[in-house]
Amino acid sequence: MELPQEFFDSYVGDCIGRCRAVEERSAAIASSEFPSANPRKFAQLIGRIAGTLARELEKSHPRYAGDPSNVLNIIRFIDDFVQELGADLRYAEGAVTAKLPWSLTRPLEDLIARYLPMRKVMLRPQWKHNYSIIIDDLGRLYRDELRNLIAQHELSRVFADFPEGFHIVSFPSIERKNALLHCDLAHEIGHLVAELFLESEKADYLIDFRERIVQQTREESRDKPLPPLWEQQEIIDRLDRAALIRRRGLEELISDIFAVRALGPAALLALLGIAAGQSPDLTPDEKSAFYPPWRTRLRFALQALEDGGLRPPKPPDSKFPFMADIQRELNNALTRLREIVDVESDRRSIDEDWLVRLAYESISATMPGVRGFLDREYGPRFPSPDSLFDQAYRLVPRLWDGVPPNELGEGSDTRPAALESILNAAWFYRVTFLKDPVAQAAGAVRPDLRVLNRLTLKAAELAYIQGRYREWVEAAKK
Amino acid sequence: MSILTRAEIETAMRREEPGNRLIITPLLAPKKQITEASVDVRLGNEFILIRKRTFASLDIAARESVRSKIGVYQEKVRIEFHEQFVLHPHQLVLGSTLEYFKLPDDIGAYLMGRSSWGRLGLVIETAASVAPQFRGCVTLELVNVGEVPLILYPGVRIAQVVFHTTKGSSTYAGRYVCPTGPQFSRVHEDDDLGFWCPGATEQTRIIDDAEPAGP
Repeated sequence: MELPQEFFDSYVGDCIGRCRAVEERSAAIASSEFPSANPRKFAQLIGRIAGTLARELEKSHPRYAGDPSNVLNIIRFIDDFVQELGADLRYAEGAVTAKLPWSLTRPLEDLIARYLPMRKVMLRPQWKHNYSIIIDDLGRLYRDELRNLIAQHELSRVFADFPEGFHIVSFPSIERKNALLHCDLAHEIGHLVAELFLESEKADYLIDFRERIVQQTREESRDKPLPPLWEQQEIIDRLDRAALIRRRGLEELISDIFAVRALGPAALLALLGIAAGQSPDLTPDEKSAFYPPWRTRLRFALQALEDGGLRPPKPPDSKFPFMADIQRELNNALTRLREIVDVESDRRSIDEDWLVRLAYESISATMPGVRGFLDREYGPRFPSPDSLFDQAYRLVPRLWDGVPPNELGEGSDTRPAALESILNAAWFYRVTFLKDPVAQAAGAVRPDLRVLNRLTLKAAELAYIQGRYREWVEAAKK
Repeated sequence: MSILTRAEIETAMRREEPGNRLIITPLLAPKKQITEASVDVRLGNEFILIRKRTFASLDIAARESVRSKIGVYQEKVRIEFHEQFVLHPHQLVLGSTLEYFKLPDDIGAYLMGRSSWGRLGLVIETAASVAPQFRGCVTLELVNVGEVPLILYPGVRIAQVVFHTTKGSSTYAGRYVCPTGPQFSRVHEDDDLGFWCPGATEQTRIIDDAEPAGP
């Protein structure tokens, strides 16, 4: 429906006002303190887009009389887009330093750069108690929406300093200081890796799916055959559903496997930290948002740990009296985990629905390909088990002593520890010394969990700056 | 009590018994930072600022009020490396050392400003003593007593720590457990406050690492 000119003028005025409000809000947010450049770039991008759209509205306004229907459509499209941008500003607003685990931001960006150098991530808190990632490249999404609205040179100006491959990773806001649980961030990064695998694989599985779905559908309606069109639609729906279950399953499982290969036992233990609060055998369906059962996820993650040679080896010789205890307690934890995944109740949940079973049979058949993909693409970048464990074991005594586990060596002859070693040392300490939550709450164990998290965050930050400082010194020598 | 020289500091950092070793971490440039009889330390990233506009006065006797209002009175901010912190004339802020210390049970320390900064008007540290067995980053009370604003950068060498041996050994029983940044005052937790400050409210709870909400 077209609007009378007077109402149209008023509407356009409101739209321009919204653009200006988003532009101003973006500028205000961009002047906040952020722990890295990405949130500011994101806020500035939204501001530039809103400013450009305001000018576009001003240009479109006089054309209304000549082509009311088309111009109104364009203006409504712009208005929707601006409202969406206004809502997206909350991502940058939440990413201010004070709301983040600031010590982890830069080390995490380094970790991502190691595996996915063309991707940039903005970390932000969310109220929901969940870790998540926006898989879509936000810059590309905005660019696609703008493409038909503004000229190419204008588009280039708006996106001039905005990185390609921009994603938002969210963590539960109440866990801001929970360095140990933040190992789950590696799982979220794993989603980007899973996406690359899924894009690269051939859809051969669909042939097998179709064959079995046709057979099953006809079997079910043998006594009362469906009309051909109806049958065809049923087959297509089932094919889509099986493909969706398979895709969602692989997304989560590949992300878990990537996390375990990148962070070792720390990722597995952090995964268990989330899994413990949920039912382990939920069928992957609409109600569970097609998530794989937790028991299945833990089984694949544990397998990845073993495939990656990441079972705790014998600790190095040390004067620290509890070194052997660390290996024993870690192995005990893994044994208990093995007992959890040896129960096959999740498999029964999967088998209850033949379509889910079909999807999960395909997932199992795909796993060798996943392992090959990860080895081929990221193998040399994953930490070697020897180095990971050696460093992590050596860092635990520092925690025991109430000192951040940021460096190896002694005296003034030290070198920064790797982030994955720091996180594993923290988990090793927790598994070995903080088993009894009651004793911990009574203050019988020092460092307790709060101090442990604090020291771990500090260690990540100190190791990061030590690494950067060393690089600077080396460069200065040259 | 005798002050540790460079060689003695290095020896204390390499003691065979790890639990009784002096740890200063990170020492980014040990050859420059360990001087004849002290160690230069760097400015950390976290600062506690006073929010003047929201607080009329601070009465330490109103313990519960101090505890609950500490986030109104002071706020913690973080300045990234390579960014500036402007300290205005006569402004007090709390900062901390970048370095985290672990002192053995027979070594204490004093923290003091560097004369190079003092000449610019920056006064550092009024509570200079660090007890044996203390673990943590040391809080710095920073005041610009000069006439012009001073620009500070996290990571710059800003203070020096002089270590000394103690007669006998000691166990740290202070209020600050493994702090990794500047700490708020806990003077309101003094146990004899009730005697000296008529009307001092009862102390109900000690918080390990009380921290106000961020902005």
